[in-house]
This record gives sequence, structure tokens and C-alpha cells, in this order.
Amino acid sequence: MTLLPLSALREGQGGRVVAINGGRGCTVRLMSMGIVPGKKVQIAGRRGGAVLVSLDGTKFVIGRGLAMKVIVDAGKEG
Amino acid sequence: MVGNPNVGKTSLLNALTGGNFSVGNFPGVTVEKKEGVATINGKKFIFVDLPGIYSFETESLDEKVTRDYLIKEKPDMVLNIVNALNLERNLYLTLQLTEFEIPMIVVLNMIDEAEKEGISIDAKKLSKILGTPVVKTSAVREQGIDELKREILKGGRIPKSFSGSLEEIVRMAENIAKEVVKVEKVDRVIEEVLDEVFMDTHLGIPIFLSIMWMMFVFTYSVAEPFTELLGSLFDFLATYIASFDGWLFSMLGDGVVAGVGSVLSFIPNIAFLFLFLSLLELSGYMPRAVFLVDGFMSRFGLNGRSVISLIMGFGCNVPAILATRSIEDGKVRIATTLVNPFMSCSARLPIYVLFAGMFFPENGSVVIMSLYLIGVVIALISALILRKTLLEGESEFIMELPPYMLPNPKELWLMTWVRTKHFIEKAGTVILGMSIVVWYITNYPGGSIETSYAAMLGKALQPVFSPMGWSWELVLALITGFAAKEVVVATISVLNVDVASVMTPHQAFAYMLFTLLYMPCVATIAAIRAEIGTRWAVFAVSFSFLVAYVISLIATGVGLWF
Repeated sequence: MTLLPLSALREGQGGRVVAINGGRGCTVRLMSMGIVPGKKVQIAGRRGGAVLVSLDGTKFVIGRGLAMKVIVDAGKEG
Repeated sequence: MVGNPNVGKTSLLNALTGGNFSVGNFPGVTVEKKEGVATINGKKFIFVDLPGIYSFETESLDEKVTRDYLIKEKPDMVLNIVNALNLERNLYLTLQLTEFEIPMIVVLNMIDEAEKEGISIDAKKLSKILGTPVVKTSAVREQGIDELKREILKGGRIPKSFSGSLEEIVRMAENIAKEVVKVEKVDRVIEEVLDEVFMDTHLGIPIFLSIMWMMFVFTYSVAEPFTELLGSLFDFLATYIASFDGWLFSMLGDGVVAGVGSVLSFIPNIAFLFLFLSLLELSGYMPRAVFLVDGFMSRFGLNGRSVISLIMGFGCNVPAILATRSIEDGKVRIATTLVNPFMSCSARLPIYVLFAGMFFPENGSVVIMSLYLIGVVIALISALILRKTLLEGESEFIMELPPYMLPNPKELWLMTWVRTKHFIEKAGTVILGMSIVVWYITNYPGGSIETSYAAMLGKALQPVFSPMGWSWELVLALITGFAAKEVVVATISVLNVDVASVMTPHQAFAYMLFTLLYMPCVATIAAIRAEIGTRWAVFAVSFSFLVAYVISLIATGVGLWF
């Protein structure tokens, strides 16, 4: 088990959401869009600032600040 | 009609009403409201498309509008539009909707896309679990619409209650989705290829810049014949009316028709610009651009989301400032609002078109493009300064990439028309009033411009701008332009100034720079004040005036060397 913030994953790397490490406001916002503990996510791209995250076939652009608050388990390879 | 963003609600509204719908606003707020009427089996139904939301938990304006509508307007029925491609996440909202105890129909839209991707949904089972009818549709292909109409006639059913905290709702949705959805994985080839190209490390930015360049060519060159036709029509009318004797005809001809006409003749430019912007929004390209430019924007303390507001600023700063509401981060939002007036709005385009056409006939497009670029550069530098000083802090945002769509022509037309109409209404009221005022102060008390009130005002303030060498007529145009930037052109036209004889090309360029940067128009100031408060509005006015003065002074100085 390798716990990392979502913002630290490389392009193409995947993981499972473990926790959202932030206040009620940002937790609710992420959860309403389906970013919930237990979900598999994958980094579909990154360009300096925001990361492009793929989840259940949908892609999200997540700003760096918010992506730092999503803790994922990147598995063995991390 | 309630549902997440990007689930095809507008397409469904279009399919249900046969295109008979209109776009307006919810009372008191600038959230767009689409409303349509359909007659089904002789019964009249009114459909209201509520803003796209993900849940009722984040207290955003869109969520508040939706909640208030459901509670206060007591609709007879809720059509919950669900994206069949992603049932689980869409169910969060569905389950929260059950709390309102309004008869409901769940519409599994984009079912054709879902089936193509190997997703099958057991509608009967879902209907049993939720206690409401479930209908499969593809609004774009008009599939399932007749069945939906039959269910609408039956009136829907009050769903079972699934209330709970968001965490509980998420678990319930997961369990329901497990029971009714079967997935055989098939890849979305076209979406993926388009995403690869539009967000490519090397190709993405050049494509973005080419699209921006196309936007300028489209609004300037393509619209030109229409603009010229309208311009000569109004010229002819003004001269004809003013040729009659009496002050009334003089006012109507030289004041109203000449003033309003000179602005209205730029409607083709503005309509083409809005058409292009609406196309970018509806096609799904805009959020891709957000991702693309986020790295760049974050260097200036903004984020990718600011780019939508800033690009909309090219149309009109007022809706652009209202669009900053989608930026969740407070400080980024204030910074984006404050620098927005530096984005050259369509009202400033007539000024550039007039001066560039007169002084730079060979390369008008380049001169105008450079003005837009200077505006962008100054906006970004100002944002950086603000975020390093008054508005420090890290930024946060999240947005979904919608599927690519060929925009519905009806919706495209409505969006373009609503925005253009707003401009015409402004021309019809503020500019009409200002044209009469300008006509009055230029004709009285003496009867000639040289002895008029306007001359006195312009001459009194002219010394402030004497370093740039602008005549008092041009100074006066700047003052009247405070009401709305379009009025600058109207004033010059009413004053009957031969601009080419009172200034040199580099002075004209400095003047264009000044009109680009100096204080926002009254409507924009009002929007800034409404969104972020009086103190920031005062700040915006003084800051932009200072920037404009310094920059145009520099431009005048540099111009003298050539």
C-alpha cells in the first residue's frame, strides 16, 4: 500500500481513493462528482497545473490545490 | 427538468417541444432558464429546464435556484434526466430528489451511446427500486420520446424516499447501480482521439491559439460586408432626416439616428463573435481549453476556470464577470473579476474598427489583434500582482469534461440571439439617451460645436490629455464613453470630427489603447460592485484609469521615435 496525494501521481498511473483530506466544503464537492473513497481513478494527463483524472469513464479536470487533498492508494508500483 | 450538467437536458427539451422553447433568466439572478411549451394529446405542458447540478449539498447558486423552484413553484412533475453512461453518479441527485415528494419520471438519456459502449441498464428493475417510471431515450436521435410523452400524460409517480447523508446516498447509489447496470467494456474511440489531439502536449496550445485567431477573423473580416451595408444605410437615413428644417429633425437625424446607427451597424461583428463563443461553449471544447491553459494561468495566480470568464470578456465584460461565479476559489474569483475589464469587449471593437480602418487600412486585423493581446497581457500581469499582494493563497477547482457535441442549431441560434439582443437593448436605451445628450450639449447654447457646452467640457479636461496630444473632441468622446464604450464612436460621429486630420497614426494607436484600458463602462462597474463589493469596484475604476494613462503615455512617447 502506497498512500499518495492524487496530485503526485504520474500520467497513466492509477490508484484507489482512500480519503479526502479537507474540509466539509471540498469533501462534499468532490463526493457529489463521484470522487468517493473506494473508487478507482487514473491520471489521464497533467500539464503543469491541473490534473486530468479519469473515473468510471468520465474525465475531470482537478486543480492542483484540490488534487492534493485526495489521498489515493497507488498500490505496489507507486 | 432536473439533472447533472451535460446530460442532454436541452436536447430533450428541444425534442419534447419540437424546438418551441426560449432562453431567459430566473428572476433576480443571472442563471439561465430555458422554458418550452408542448401540446401532448390536446393537453398543454410547460417544461422548465433547471440548471445542471450534481447534488443539493454544496450550496452553489445553481443548487439554490433549483431547490427554490422545486419548493416554491411546486411543479406538477419532475423529469429527472440521467446520463445512462454514468448511472451511478447521476443517481446521487435522483436519490436526493426523492425528498421533495414530487411525482417523478426518471429519463435514462443517451441510451444509444451507453449501448454502444456495452452498458445495459435494467429499466424495469430500476423503476421498481425507485418507485417511479423509468424511460430510455436518446434526445439527439429523438428515440423514446413518444414513450416519454405517454408517461408524462400518466403524470409520473411519487418516488420512494431515500433520504440520508451524502455518504449514505453514495453507498445507496453504488448498490442500486450494481443491481441494474451491466457493463461490457468497449472503448470510446472518437472521444479519446479528440481528447488526445485537443489536449496534446505539443498540439493543444497551437490548436487553441488557431481557434482564437479564427474567432477574430470570423468577427472582423467575415462580418465586414454586413457591417458596411448597415453603416451606409444609417448614414443615408441620418442625412435624409437631418435635411428637413427644425430642431426636432436635427435631433433625430444628427443625434439619434447618427449616434445609435453608428453603433448598431457593428451588430454583425458582435453577433458573429457571440455565435463563435456559443459554438465553443456548446461543443464541449471550452473545458478542454481549461485543462490546457491551467498550468499557464496558474503562473499568474489564476486557474484554468478563469479562462472561460476571460474569454467571455471578449464578448461583454458584464456576463463575463457574472461567469466568475463558477470559480469556487474566492480570491481567484476576485482577481479574475478585477482584471476582466482589460479583456477587450465587443463594445470596444467599433472603436478599433473605426480607427484601424482609417489609420491602418493595410493591416487592420493585425492592429486589432495586437490590442486584444495587449489587453490580455495587462490582465495577466495585473492578476499576478494582485495575487502576490492583496489576494494571496492557493486555488482549488474541479470540472467534468462533457462529451463532444455537434451543437443543436436552435440552441446555438438562441444563445447568440439572446446575447446580441442584450447588446441591441443597450444600444437602444443607454446609447439612445447618451446620443441625445451628446447632440444637445454639442448644439447648445451657441448653435455651433465650437461654442457649445461640449466644447467647454472637452476643453476644460483636455489639458489632462495634452501629453498625448488629443483634441478636445476626442477627450469628450472618452467622457461620454464612460456610459458605454460604444458611445465613443457615436460621439465622434455626432461631433462630425474628421479624425484623420486631427491625429497621427501613433496617436490613434495610443487612443485605442486608452479606450481599451480606461475605466470600465457603467454596466461593468455595476457588475463588479454587485459581485465583489463597492470597495473593489472603486479599486477597479482607479486602477484601470491609472494603467490606461501610463500605457497610452508610453505608447505616445515610443511612437514619436518612428
